Order: sequence, then C-alpha cells, then structure tokens
Amino acid sequence: MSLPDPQLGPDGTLRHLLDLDRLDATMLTRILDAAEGFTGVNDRSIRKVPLLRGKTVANLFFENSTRTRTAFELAATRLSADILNVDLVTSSTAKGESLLDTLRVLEALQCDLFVVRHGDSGAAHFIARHVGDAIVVVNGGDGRHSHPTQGLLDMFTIRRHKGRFDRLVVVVVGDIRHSRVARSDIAALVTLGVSEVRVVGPRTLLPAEVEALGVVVFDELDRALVDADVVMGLRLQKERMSGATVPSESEFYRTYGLNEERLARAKPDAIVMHPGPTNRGVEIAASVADGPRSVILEQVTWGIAVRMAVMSMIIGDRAATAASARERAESAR
Amino acid sequence: MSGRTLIRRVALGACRDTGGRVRADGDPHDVLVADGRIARVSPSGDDRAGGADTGDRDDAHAIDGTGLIALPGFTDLYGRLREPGPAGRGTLARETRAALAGGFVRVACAPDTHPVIEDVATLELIRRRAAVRPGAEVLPIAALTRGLDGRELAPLATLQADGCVAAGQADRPLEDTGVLLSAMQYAASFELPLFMTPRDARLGAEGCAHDGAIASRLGLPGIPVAAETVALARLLELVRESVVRGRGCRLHVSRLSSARGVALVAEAKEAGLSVTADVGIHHLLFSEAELDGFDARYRSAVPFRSAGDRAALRDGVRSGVIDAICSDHAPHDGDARLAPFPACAPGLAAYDRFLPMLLALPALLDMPVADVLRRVTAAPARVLGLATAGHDGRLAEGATASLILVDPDAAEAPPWLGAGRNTPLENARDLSELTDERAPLRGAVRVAFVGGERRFDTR
Repeated sequence: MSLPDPQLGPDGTLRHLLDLDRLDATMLTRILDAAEGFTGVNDRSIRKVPLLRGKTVANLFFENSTRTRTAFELAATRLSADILNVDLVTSSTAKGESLLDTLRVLEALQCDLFVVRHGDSGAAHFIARHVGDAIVVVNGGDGRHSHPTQGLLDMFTIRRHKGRFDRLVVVVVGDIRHSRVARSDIAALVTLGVSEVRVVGPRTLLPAEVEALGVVVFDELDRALVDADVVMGLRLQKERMSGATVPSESEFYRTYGLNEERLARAKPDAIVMHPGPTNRGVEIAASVADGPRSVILEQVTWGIAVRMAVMSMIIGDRAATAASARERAESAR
Repeated sequence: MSGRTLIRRVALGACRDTGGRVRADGDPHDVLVADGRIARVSPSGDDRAGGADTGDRDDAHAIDGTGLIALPGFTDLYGRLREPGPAGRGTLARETRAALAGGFVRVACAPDTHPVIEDVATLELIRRRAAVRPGAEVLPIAALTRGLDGRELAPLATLQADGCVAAGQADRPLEDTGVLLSAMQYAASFELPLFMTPRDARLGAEGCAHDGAIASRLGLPGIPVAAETVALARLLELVRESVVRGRGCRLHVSRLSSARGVALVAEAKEAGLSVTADVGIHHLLFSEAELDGFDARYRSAVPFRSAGDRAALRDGVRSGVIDAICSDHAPHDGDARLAPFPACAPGLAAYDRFLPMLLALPALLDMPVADVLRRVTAAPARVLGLATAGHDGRLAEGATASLILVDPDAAEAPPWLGAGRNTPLENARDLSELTDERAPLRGAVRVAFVGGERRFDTR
C-alpha cells in the first residue's frame, strides 16, 4: 500500500517485468500478441531483428540456471542486443560484497537491461527499486515468488492450443508451495479469466491460505483431472523428496504423479505442460512427458518469442515515452 | 540541572477530541520538582504551589507548561540499545536519549547485545557507557542461558544482584524443554521474572513473515501462528509445573503477535497463573497487508499477522489480558535494509516516533487516553516489580521525579535522535499514509526528567 509499484510507469506502461500479480488482462494480452509477432523470426533464414541493436543485456544469475539463462541469451541475441553473462553464484556477492555494490558496478558498465535470477523472494523488486532510471529489470525467477516470463510463455502456449482462456479448467499439480512458476501461472490464469484453476498436492506442498490466490484446492489428483483442459506439472526439488515434506519419490508418484491412466479423466484434447526439467517417474510418467498431449518442448520454443516480446516492448515503450517527453519539451519552448 | 524546578500551568490529564486527537484536559496545575522528587502538585493560582509569597519562584527554575501535559515517564519492557555491539547500529548514549524522546524514562534492555548480557563485566560496561550521557534509565535483562544458546544457565543470581531485572532469550528460542523447566525453577528461587517471546525453535525457523495469504502470494517463507502458540503453551504448562514443584515461576510473555496467543494468556490468567504479557506497539498498528510489494520496513522478528490477529491484540490491550505495550525498539543502520526482504535484518526503530504512535491508540482502540497511558506506565512498572511510590502511573506528590512534558499537538517531528531510521513512520503524518486506517500521528515529548534531573529539553 505504501510503496509504489516499480513495475508500472505513471502512464501505465511496463517499466520492468517483476511479477504477473499486478498486470491486468490488457497488458498480459498485449505481451502475448507481441510474442506472436516474434514467432516468425525463428523461422527466417536470418533469425534476427534489430530492435535491441546497440543495447546491452546483462544476465545476472545469483542462482544456477542453464535453461532460463540460455533462453534469455538467445532471445536477446535475436533482438541484436549485446549480451553480458555474469555468473554471480561464485562471484563477488559470495565474497561478501553486498548485492547493491554488485549492482552499482554493473550499472557503471552501462548495461540497459538486467535479467535477474536470485534465490530470495522479492529480489527483483528490490533491484528494480535500487537501479537508476535507465535500467530495465526483467525477473528471471526470484525465490518462491515469481517467474514471470515462464508464466507468460505458459499462457502463450495455452492460447496457441486453446485459442482463449475463458471456460478453461486448468489443473496445477505438485509442489505449489515452493514454486515461483506456480505463482506466476496462477496469477496470470486468474487475471485472464479461466473458469477454474485447481491446485492439487499434499497439504505439505500447498502454501497457507492458498485459496486467496483464487484457486480451488483438490486433495485427489483423480478428481481434479476430471474435465481438465490444461494440466500443469511442477518440478519437485530433489531436497524435498525425502524427509518431512514428502516421504519418498515413489509415494509421490503413486499419489500425485501424472500418468496415462489418470490423464484419461481429462478432456480428450487436454494438454500437458511442465516448466522443466522434469523428474520422470516422480511428478510425470515418461510416456506422458513424451506423449501426444505433451507440449513441454513447445513451451521451451515459445519461451524465446515471449522473452523477445517482453524485452523489446519495455525498451520500445521507454524510448517512446522519452521521445514524447522530448517533443513536449521542444514544443513548449 | 538538579535543584528545584517549577512547572507552571501544566495539565495533568488528557482526553480525546472528536477528531481523534489527544488534548490536554483538566485545570492547569503547578508541579514542583525538588530534590529528585515531585515535591508538590497543586492547581495553578493556588498559593501553596508556586505563588509569589512562598518564595518558590525565587530559587526555582521555571518551565511554562501551558499547552503541555505532565505525565509519569514511560517504562519500556523491551528495547534494544545495541551496546555493547557492532558500531553503527546504536549506542547507549544515543538510544537512551531517543527513548526519552519517546517518553520512556526507563528501558528494560534486551539481552541480545554483543556480547550478550551474561556476566558482571558486561553489566559494568553498560553502566559506564550509559553514564556518559545519561538518558533513560537502563534496566538490563539477563541472558537466560549462556550465549543465549539454550543449553547452560547464565549466572542468574549474580546478574540479578548486579542489577538485572529479569532474564530472557531475546529472539532466540530455547529448544530443550528440560533446560527451560530448569531455568524457570532456578529463576523462581530468586523471584527473577522470565521475559520470554514465545517462538518455536523449528516451526517457521526459516520464515520471515506471517504464514498467511500475503506471504503465500509473495512466496515468502512463513512463520505460522503455531510457532508462537506451541511455544507459549509449553511455557505456560511449565509455569504450572513450577507451581506444583513448590515455587511458581513469574512469566512475562513478551511481544505477543496472534489472537490465539492472546487467548492462551487469558486462559492462564483466569487459571490464576502468575503471568503477564505485552505487545509491541507496531503490532497494534500494522498487519501482514503492509508487507505487500516486499516492503522491508515491515520486516519484524515477531511478524505482523492478519488483521484479525491485530484486532485481538487490541482487544487484549483493552481488556487488560495484555498488561503493557512495549517499544520492541530495534535500530539498524541503513545497510540493514538494503537487501531483498528475506535477507533484511528484522526489527523497527520505535523510539523517535513512539509518542505519536501511542497518542494514535486511544482513537484506534477506542480507549480512554488514561487507560492507554497506564499500559506504558503503571502496568509495565508492576511487571518489573517497581509498583512502589512514584511508579503507580500517576503523577503524585512524593514520587520520584521521572516525568515527561508532552505537547500532544506537535505536528513537526523533532530532530531524529536514534541511530536507526528503519521505520515506515519517519515522515508519516497520518496512519492512513501507511495503512487503511486513519489516525493523526502527532505529539512530541518536550521535556523529560529522570530522577529529578532534566535530561531532555527541546522547547
């Protein structure tokens, strides 16, 4: 209530992409539409557009990630940006330099856009509040909070297959509690007006008061899958597969694993999604991950277009805002 | 500054006007401070008090109290004064002066200094540093266990003999129930009260916010209500056990946060256990809603919980289940908040803005001003066993002259005194700038006397 949202500018344009909680349906749709325009770039003989030529994108990864970093790198490359990969997992912050000091140095190197992955929830908001006006922050995943580009690419994939969001029943199964992907997906699905988001998992893997996110809780996967249009699996982290949260991989698979037999309860044209990497035989059967309903690899592909859309949109909007401000200043003179 | 001071035409009471503001109330009085005591309180114009023919005016320093309210100085049951400790976060000289600006003339100092308060040398250090530029009186709380590590008892009798008023674990849990019972029995032998903040060692140990809807949406690791109530139920059962074993432990439940916690304390009191409780003042103002957008100014070791919990804490203060309101003062330097929410050091600086917060409570809690004031004067003094003459919460002749003169209408915040500005209230003029409630944040302490000595004066 008291802190201004750094994500949106006073004119309502997107200044950073930090989470999907406060983006309205118009904004989400605008990003998805823009992403449509970039899907063609991948099919051209020269897979590049010059939208970010002369701009520098810095990948700041405070947490290990190959897939997300590579996807952002590829998206930036296709927008003709220069890329700076900064591995911060083993870098200065580990040596006791504060996060802010690290940011100041990278700012001084005159980058234009930071893609940030960090283990603390809220890290992207923190960084967006503390960088100079010229820098764009795109959240590449912060703690358990948000992974907005993953959420957007999931929405993009759903729209490609279903053509709409209304009247859809979406099931999200597995470790909701610790998942930033689940939070982003749920926020976007609710905003885009699907008819029902069902979350399924053992109560140890659901966050407190999860219903407040706008979802319906199911304890049994079989019941949740009835008439589902979209089924989203989530990765169960290795360290949570034994101990007090979930007793074992095999028990999790027995109770909440996505297999062919269970999927038969969903609609015939239901699609199966997963942010990857999958634990086959834990949250998803190999036959489902590789089966005809699976769109898991498509998600990866669309991820490039969606990230191109996000980066070019924010940089473009900012340039337009700056240009109109200049015009106003000149006409005033 | 000792000697005689005559405070003229000052109000002794306060009330709330229709706009929710606290105003001076009642006929003006003259208050004579002499030889460390409140020598005389009498209606202004009464010859007995300061009239020309008594001769008081000739040798007494006079303060014009018009528009001000004279109140007994407040007693804080939990403040962090940061010394001994790392440089930058605060010093005794600075924080005890900030405490005076908040209205506190005595502060029970949390034991989690560095090193912790567990030996006579540390107490001596605290005494010496506090004497450099004396502010509020410092009443140290002893570490209950050595290094606060929950394993071995600190030398409690020695620490008590050397000035400690209670013993506690600060924000550190005490996991071993055997050690806890033993500590209670040992402390009971010397009638040393335990100041305990109930927090389970494991439940929500990694948490940084109330485990509710807001933390769930923000993906912040949560601290469930049960982290408080499980620990509280254990404490209360052990108090009961200590009673059975012959001498009951005096337990003060420090910094409650939940509705269920208030209910447990109420049950224990009804059952006749020797239990008292307090709440940090911020917890009467804020709830989890304020964390939205990862606002690290609301990062607190005792988390801000739901609006329902806040309502129950207010009920507890009204009904007296919660005896006292403490500051839970936790100054930090600026760097402590320059990190993502979970990595920020917890705690809010309270002293510099304590009075405006306190004066907002009568309206927010719909409580008479005098009753609110009792929660920071008579009630905490009683918890500390100071309920002798001069500590009964009312300005009375013969009492020790530890009193404050408050301007209830001061809108401009006086110069900041504490080392930490880690509070959302620094520039707030009305609570509505921070939460969905309206309450003016006004008022300032103009003068504070401690033991007859005028240690603070911003007129």
